This record gives sequence, C-alpha cells and structure tokens, in this order.
Amino acid sequence: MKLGFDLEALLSQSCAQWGIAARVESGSEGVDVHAGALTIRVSRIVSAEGKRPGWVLRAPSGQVWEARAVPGVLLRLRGLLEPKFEPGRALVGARYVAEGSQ
Amino acid sequence: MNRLPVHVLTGFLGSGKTTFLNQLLKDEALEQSAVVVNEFGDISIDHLLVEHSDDRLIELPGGCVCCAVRGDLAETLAALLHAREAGRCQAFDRIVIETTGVAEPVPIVNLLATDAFLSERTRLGRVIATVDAVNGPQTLSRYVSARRQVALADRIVVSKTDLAPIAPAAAEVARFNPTASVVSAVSGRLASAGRLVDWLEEQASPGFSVPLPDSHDHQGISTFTVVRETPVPGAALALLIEVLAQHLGARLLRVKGIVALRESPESPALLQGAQHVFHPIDFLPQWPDTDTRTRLVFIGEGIEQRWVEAVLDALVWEVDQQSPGR
Repeated sequence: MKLGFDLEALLSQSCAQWGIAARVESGSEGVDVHAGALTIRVSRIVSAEGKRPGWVLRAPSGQVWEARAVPGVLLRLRGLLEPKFEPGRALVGARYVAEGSQ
Repeated sequence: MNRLPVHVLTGFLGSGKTTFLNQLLKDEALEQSAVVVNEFGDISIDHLLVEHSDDRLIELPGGCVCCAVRGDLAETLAALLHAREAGRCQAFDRIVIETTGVAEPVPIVNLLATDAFLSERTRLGRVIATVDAVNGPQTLSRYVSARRQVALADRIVVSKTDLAPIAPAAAEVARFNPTASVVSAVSGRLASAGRLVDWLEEQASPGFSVPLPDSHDHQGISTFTVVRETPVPGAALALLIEVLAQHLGARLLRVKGIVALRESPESPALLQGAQHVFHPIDFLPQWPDTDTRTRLVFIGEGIEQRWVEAVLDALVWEVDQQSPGR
C-alpha cells in the first residue's frame, strides 16, 4: 500500500516487537496481517467530504474497527492478536501526585 | 521557577558509592549539596560514613529507596525543599540521593517526574553509577540490578583502579551503556575528569558527551540511537511517547535525547523518560554544539530499533498529512 511510509514494514516490525509470529503482506487494498488463524487487513481511509482520513481494520468475518491515527491502529491490532494485552499509559511530568507526597 | 538538580548516586554493594560521595562533598564547587542517604538493613550505618555533618544530610532508614520507602523519599525531599524555601536549613543548590546497593534507580527517576510538588521544584540531574574495578565485571554478569544501574547512568565512576586495571570494567560497562561518560577513581578521587562539578553538571544535553552508540544487545539489554536529520513535529514526538508507553512499559529502561522540534528548531527539546514515565520536556536556549540533529538514545530490554524508527516515520508522515500547507 503506497503511503509516505512503509505500512507493511511498520506492521511487520510491530508484530516482531510484540513477539507475535505473523506473516505480513501488502496488497492493493491494504496490508494483511496473518497470525495463526486470524487475518486482519489494515487500510487507509482516504479523506472524504466531511470525514477525516483515518484507518480501518477488517477481519474476514466482516468485523470492522476504525482508528483515527497510527497509535490507534497499533493498539487495536495488538489487542486483536494478543487478547490479554493491556496497554501502558504515558505519564508525562506531574499529572498526578504520588501517594505520600505533599 | 529555577528547578534544583537532583543527582542519583547508585552502584552495587561495595562499589564505592559512599567513598565517592565523600569526595564529591569535599569539592568546593559542590559543597552546597543536600544529601539523602538510603539505608538497607536493620542497622543504619551508611549515614555514619558520609562526612557531611550538618542538617543537609538526611537518612532514610528502613528499606530500599526504590520500593518500600518511595513515599518516604517523596516526603523527605518535600520537607527538605520546604526547609530550604523557609530558610530553616543551610543553603543548598543541589540534592544528591545515594541509593542502596540493590536499588533500581528507575523508580527514583520516575518519582521526580510524577510527584507534582517535586517536579515543580526539582529536575533530574545526573544518574551516577559506581562500578568496582575489582569485582565489577563479575557483578555485572551476575546481577540484573547491577546491569540496570549501569545501563541507566549518565556518568560512571570505576572505583578501586589502584587495585585493578580499569579496562575490563570499562569494557563491560560499555557493553551495557556506551553513552555514559566513564572515569576511574581511587579512594573516590576522579582521575581525569577535570573539574568534578563540570563533569557532573555540564549543561550539554544528557548522554551526548561521547560518540553515539551503534545498536547492540548484551545480556538482554539493548542500546541504540535513533537519529533524524530533519526536525520532528511536536505532535509526532508526543504520539511517539504514547506509543512507547503503551507497548513497551517496563521494558523501556530509559530514553534520553535531544530533539529538533519543527516548531522550535533553534531551541532543542530534551527528552527523558524511564518505563512509562517521562519528565516534562525541557528546552535548551540553543544547541550545545554544531550537531542539530535529533538524537534519541534508547536503553531497554528486548526493544527493536527498527520498530521504533518505523513508528516514528509513520507518526511524522501522519502528522504532516493533517497539517495542511506542509
């Protein structure tokens, strides 16, 4: 899938980073991620009138998940491939007060 | 508010932390330091060994600073800062925390970023690790906490170099942390670092006083540098932080770097984080040298450089897509 970056490499590298054995293939309608019995197609939604561009993930069963941006794609994909995955949450600066501090 | 640097002095049991701390406190330029000493064990003794006999030496007994007494550390630092602001103690312009030999420095580093009171008044200075030239190489191969201490450090003191050559310990250190500045010490005295205060507190970006490391992996700890020639949109950096936290968590031992932001190319941003916690972004008034590239050093367990680079490339592209006119 022709974008300004290599989506196939991103998804392939992501599966490797997560320790998920997957085969990743690029096609005309998106990039397919095959992991075990599961196949997820990741496609870019081009900008349409009144709608922001974004991403869609599809299973062969017809289930569809949308994501606004790349971080959402990665979260959704990992959640589908690794159901027990619990994402971390970034804490930047002093968003909360540690217990016991003043 | 001008935030006080808080230096974290770490190092495995018997590696010379207290000896180095005593030398540090004897340095005229560093005399204005408050010290927090953490004890580990039933009988407190470390604080007796630190030659700093005034109200700026505080002992934290009862457990390891990285876990059991984290709340105590926050309270102690807050009390120290209150006393300073009210003029109820001798003046100091930095704080040094000496951890126990078995402590992991990450929670301390993260405490400084996440505690609202502390993060407003302090900033992370240097993480300094001591490594014993005699036993250091063996200790590093045997103990995970020793490897993590070294991996996280900005400055490494190889001690006892009068008893053993520095080379084996320095080589072992470089495997885990090729970005740190390494000097040898005898009885806590540094051999070749010039002025101690400069070595400790120079205002250059963190971790870039030596050549950037090539990617490598040693006993599970990988170190690599992501370099970008062109400035990065601030939104892409923010999203990268989110993705790192979401997917890496505790495997990201530390990330530190200097970032050319597209929105402020003349004032580089300093990024520091450990695990899922990131310090507030600091900006340097100007680049410390002629190299104005983004350079992010990653130290972690099982982190693929290619993945980080692929994510960053995707985020930059996507942010650009949503910025009309670019």
